[in-house]
Amino acid sequence: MDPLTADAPVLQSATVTLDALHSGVLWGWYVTMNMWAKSVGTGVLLVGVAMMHRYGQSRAFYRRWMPLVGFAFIGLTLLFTVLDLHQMFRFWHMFVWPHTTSAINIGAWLLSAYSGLLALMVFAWWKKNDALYDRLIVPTVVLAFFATIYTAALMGQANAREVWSMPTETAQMLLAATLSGSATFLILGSPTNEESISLGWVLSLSAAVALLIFLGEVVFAPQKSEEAEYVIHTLVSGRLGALFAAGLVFGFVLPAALGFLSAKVNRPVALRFAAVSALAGLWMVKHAWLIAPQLLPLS
Amino acid sequence: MRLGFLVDLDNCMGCKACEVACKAENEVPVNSWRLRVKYVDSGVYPEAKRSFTPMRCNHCENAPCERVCPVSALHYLPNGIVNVDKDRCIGCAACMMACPYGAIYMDPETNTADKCTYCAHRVEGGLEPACVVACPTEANIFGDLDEPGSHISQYIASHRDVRVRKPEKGTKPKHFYTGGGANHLEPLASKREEGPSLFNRIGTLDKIGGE
Repeated sequence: MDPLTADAPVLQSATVTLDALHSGVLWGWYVTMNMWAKSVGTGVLLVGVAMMHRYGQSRAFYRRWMPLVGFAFIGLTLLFTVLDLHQMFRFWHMFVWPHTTSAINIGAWLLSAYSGLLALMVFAWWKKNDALYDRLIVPTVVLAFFATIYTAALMGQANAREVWSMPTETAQMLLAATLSGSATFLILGSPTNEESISLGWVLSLSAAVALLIFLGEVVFAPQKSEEAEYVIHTLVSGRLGALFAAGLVFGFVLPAALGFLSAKVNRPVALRFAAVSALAGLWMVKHAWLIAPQLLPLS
Repeated sequence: MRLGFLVDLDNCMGCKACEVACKAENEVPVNSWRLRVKYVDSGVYPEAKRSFTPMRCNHCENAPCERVCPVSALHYLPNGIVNVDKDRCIGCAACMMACPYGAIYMDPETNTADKCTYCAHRVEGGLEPACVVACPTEANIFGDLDEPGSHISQYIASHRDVRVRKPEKGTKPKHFYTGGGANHLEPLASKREEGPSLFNRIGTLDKIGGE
């Protein structure tokens, strides 16, 4: 008899009766904070530069908030990255013994360079050195872009967590950045009605597309493996179902709807509520998405 | 040289001598395991059976843990062993996220990642891994996969049911199994109900790593 199917009739009742304790959740809310803060820290640059390009008259507003908010939130990202290490005082090993096949290592260099440029931008803004500031914009935006998407590469390297490796993850990271960037500027109060409406559109579209991707990939599509099916069940209708659903509603459904309703007429209160809701919901979605694959028994 | 392992599941009787030998040899802390034997019970009396599966690092040829480690703390030795440099490890746990076999743990005493190294220190001195020596039924077979005359190569050649865990992950494990049934290697082929069980508590660690 084929040994692979020899005990098939009794598999339904197969039960683990002795095993070591599993590791469980290793990457917890510190890592969620890392991803969430990075979305804000890079999103303000990506959205801010686009807004500056479109609305030249409000350059001062964006020139002030882009580097200030960006630097603060990338600082938070780095802080939570280091805090999450079990040997946080060895963080410098990343730069002394770099392993370039590791997305974490590439990310450490990217984030360090990005925060360095942001610090220079803050300095240039403070000293009113427009020439230096303008020279820094292009390289900083390029780094913001790559700092946004490298996390998708990092998660893709987690071979054991299939759900983190979905092909649309890069797009989701970018959408999280545009969602967070537009939400941040709406909370800070954009200078004109027209700009509020534009930011509302960015928020609304980012939320709508992110929601559609999640629905298509996580809720509607059949998964390619039993492991992925197990994780998606945990995420959508299992232990994390309530958190994930709340995240989808607050992070995507409400911002998409409120942004759309404010498309013609500026409704500042509604847009600010949508912005706060988007940031809170994004945290919930990221957290549930981070935790679910870690609940899968690997052996 | 390409060192590998093979476990003949039909020979394993679940005595855990390999586990104990590994713990003692490598001073593995409490609640941490480089090698463990999982028991799975199936069927209903009188048609009941218990199966035993020793599990350790697979020392993959395409090791995701080695690739994701940001500081090369996980690295290949010339004999194919995937080794750990605990002095270099920063404890980011990316290797634990990458390993599809759950073979890596966070040492609570050093706060660094650790795992089975096929007893690289013993192998270097011409000895066999501690678990191989301790096994009373010779279910653990260790040797050079590149040497056609080695015991492991001949064992693989003479058995038709040699397999690895999760081949779909593309990791090319150098740890093989023969004998046994479907619920030995598939984690989702058996129920894992959290709580007190026949021998111990089935569950997850309350805390990972040390202070």
